[in-house]
Amino acid sequence: MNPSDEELLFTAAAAFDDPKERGAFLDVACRHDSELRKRMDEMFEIEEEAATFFELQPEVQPDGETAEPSADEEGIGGHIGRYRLITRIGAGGCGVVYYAEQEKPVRRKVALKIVKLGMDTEAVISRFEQERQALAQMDHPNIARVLDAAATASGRPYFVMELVGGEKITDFCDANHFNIRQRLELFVQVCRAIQHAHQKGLIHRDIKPSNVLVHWQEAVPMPKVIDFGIAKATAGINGNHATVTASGQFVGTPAYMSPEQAQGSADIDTRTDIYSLGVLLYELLSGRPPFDLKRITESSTDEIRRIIREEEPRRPSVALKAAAPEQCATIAENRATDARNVIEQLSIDLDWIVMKAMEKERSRRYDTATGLAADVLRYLKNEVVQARPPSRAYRFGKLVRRNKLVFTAGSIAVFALIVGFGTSTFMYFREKAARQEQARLRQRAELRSYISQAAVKLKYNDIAGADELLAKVPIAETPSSLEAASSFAAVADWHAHAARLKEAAARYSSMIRALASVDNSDIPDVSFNLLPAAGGVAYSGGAQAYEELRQFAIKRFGATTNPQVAEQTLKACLLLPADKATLQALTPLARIVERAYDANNGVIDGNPSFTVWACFAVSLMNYRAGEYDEAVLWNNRALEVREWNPARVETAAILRAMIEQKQGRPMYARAFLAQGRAPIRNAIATSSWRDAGTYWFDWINAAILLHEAEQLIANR
Amino acid sequence: MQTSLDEIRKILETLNRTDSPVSAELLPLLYDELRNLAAGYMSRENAGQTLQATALVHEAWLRLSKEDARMWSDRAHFFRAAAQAMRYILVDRARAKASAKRGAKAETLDIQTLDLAEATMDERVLLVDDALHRLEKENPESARVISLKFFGGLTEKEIAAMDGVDERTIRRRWAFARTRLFQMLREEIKLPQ
Repeated sequence: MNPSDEELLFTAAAAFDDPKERGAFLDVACRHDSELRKRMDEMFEIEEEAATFFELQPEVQPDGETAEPSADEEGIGGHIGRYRLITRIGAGGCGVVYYAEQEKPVRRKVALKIVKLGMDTEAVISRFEQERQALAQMDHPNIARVLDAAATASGRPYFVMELVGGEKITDFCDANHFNIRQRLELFVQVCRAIQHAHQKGLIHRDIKPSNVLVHWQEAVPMPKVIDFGIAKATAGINGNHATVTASGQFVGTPAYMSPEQAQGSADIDTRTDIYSLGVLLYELLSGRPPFDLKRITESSTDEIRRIIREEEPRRPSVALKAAAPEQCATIAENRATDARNVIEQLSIDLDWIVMKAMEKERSRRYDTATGLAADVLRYLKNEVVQARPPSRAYRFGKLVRRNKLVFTAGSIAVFALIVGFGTSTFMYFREKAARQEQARLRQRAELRSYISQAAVKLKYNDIAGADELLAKVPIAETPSSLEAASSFAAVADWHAHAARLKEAAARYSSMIRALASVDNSDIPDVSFNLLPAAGGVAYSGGAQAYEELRQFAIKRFGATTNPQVAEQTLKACLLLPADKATLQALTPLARIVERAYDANNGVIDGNPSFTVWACFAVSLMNYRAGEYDEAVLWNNRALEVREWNPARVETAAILRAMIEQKQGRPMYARAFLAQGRAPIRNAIATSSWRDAGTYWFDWINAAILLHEAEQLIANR
Repeated sequence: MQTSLDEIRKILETLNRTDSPVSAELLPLLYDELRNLAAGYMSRENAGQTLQATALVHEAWLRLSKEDARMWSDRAHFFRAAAQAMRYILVDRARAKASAKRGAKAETLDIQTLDLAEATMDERVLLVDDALHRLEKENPESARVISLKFFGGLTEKEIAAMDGVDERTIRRRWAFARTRLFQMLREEIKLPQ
């Protein structure tokens, strides 16, 4: 093979961004040369690696890049990438922050944060890259934009952010003697910013006072959340210790970290930010974080984990009461009031709002940042807040959990306790029912959040990521919404094209449920979705699931008057034999199709391909009902129409084979079976059913009927 | 320097007329010029830092063309020659460093024990140089693009302007060329000892 041809082929194939399309292109282009195909596949596999291999050669830099600043000498005036360092703003646990100027392509002032040594640069940058698009989508006045991430010449990762002035929120509030109300109003703004990010699928993971800067903007305090996307990028490499570096150091600030995050759980969701918001509120109100900072810094990693996971912090008002009088006085003065007043204000409802946000168990926290903000606003408007002091039953439960050993040790003790709690036992069960209801609501909220996160992922073409989320939604509990339906349809299609029919079928079933109550219009576009769902479910062998889907379809479309909807519902519901009740429910649908056929001289909607399917559907209905003469009549009508989609012709032939067998004409039956069998088997075996142009499920549905026909005809 | 400048000019003039490939006569001259520059750079830089090929080639270009830019109308020839010269310099330097590290005898890399992703810059230079010889036979165009980009440090834009083609064309060529060369390297590593 001529090498320049190979180059042409590579270049042409590289033009396809979608690996699927590229694969299809190479399938055709290399159909006579499997060796070449293999070489091409390998080239695309190593393409990126090859690019990195060559990238070490520095790019053109006319005046050269100055070495990055070392620890002692600040590197002011030097360059990092296309940024010129102006002054050092500060240094934190994570690294050094510089005030810098971007020179190209636009000149602007930025904040540049160099991550401290010891981090795996490539992993940091690649994790950042994963979130770059989502970060770019964030557009909120209270969120500082993250502009760029790269590595310095010596390989230290750095982040470039919108330059934000101001003080950290706690200092700002103290310096301006903000009273409780003003603090709460500021906090609500922060919650809204976090909610915005959550809706874009981004979790901050490191909310703390120093990451919320406030400045005056025309006499209005303006909070800005900084460092979005950085905590995740700089987290440890393996999921197990996502918050701890290789050397065992916490990446974030443990005092503000949720228990699940401190534990290093890989399963972190938006509720980790709710916890940190709770801690932030705690400090805004009471003047100190819930866990003693000194104690935290002096503890070992394991001890910190234990504290965060197990220790119940004192309520803000209690903590304040316990503080030294002069300290308490300062805190109160910063809040433009006296100590007694602060404690009083806190102990009404605010204590419980904070404690609810900071629940150890995330399912007990507020579901969303908006929920937290709403409760704060309710407090400000003197309305009843959601957060409540824990009931006695709850506290009892907690007591039991904490002292399991004691409680199970002796039945006498248990008995005594139950007697002691006599009245509250009744309360306990009522509380339990209420809690179960609440848990159910929470679960639904969680499922909905999976759906919206998946929709975001789909927007960025991350189908696998979306599927991972959607797979967590049990079919029977699929929330109904158009968003859910279209997300499920997208991933179902993706599975189908990769021949993962079981998954496709499951997602289609979810999709059908998602459509249940949102779109009640009987239009063919909606019922059309039944066909892949039914085919997928029946083919991958879920008889029970198919029956459920069938009953669902009858409930949803059984009353339609649209012939096309009727035809699609019939086909989808009759792929497998049906009982009498099902057939009865479907009979009106068959009548609608028949009438449409008769009224239009045998062409429905002027569309031959629809006509042939309509005749097929009525024939199938009659066959299932044992009306074989009628079945033959309609089958003839279906076979009469010649058109391009072979799946339709072959499916009609298979049905005919079954009718003939039932009519006692095995010779004909075999002839029709033989006609249909080869093309269907071939289509399934070569996966040509996945080709664009025909609907993939047409062949699947054909194969289902073929299976039934083969059983029937072999049995005689 | 002055004499060699005149010589280079003469040679390039001939080249322009005859349209022959860069003559071997020209190379040593450029080589000397670039090496002088490189020596200056290296003394200023920390050990272990890579030569900035682009900077060197551009500086050589500026020095050589300062006096009479008209004569140097054919940048293509110059850059091709300069890239070639840079390749020699970088390879020499990498070899010297490798043998200093592993003892006088070790002149070649043991490719079979090498992890491509972990290779140092010097190792990469030697690997690319070696594979480039083979790629030149298979696909001279690809080899040329690699030489200009990797050793000459030219940008895609510069190469495109030189060749009188679209920048995208060069980007595609470069993508193919580097992938193919990397593939050759991988194949070699996979060969049984």
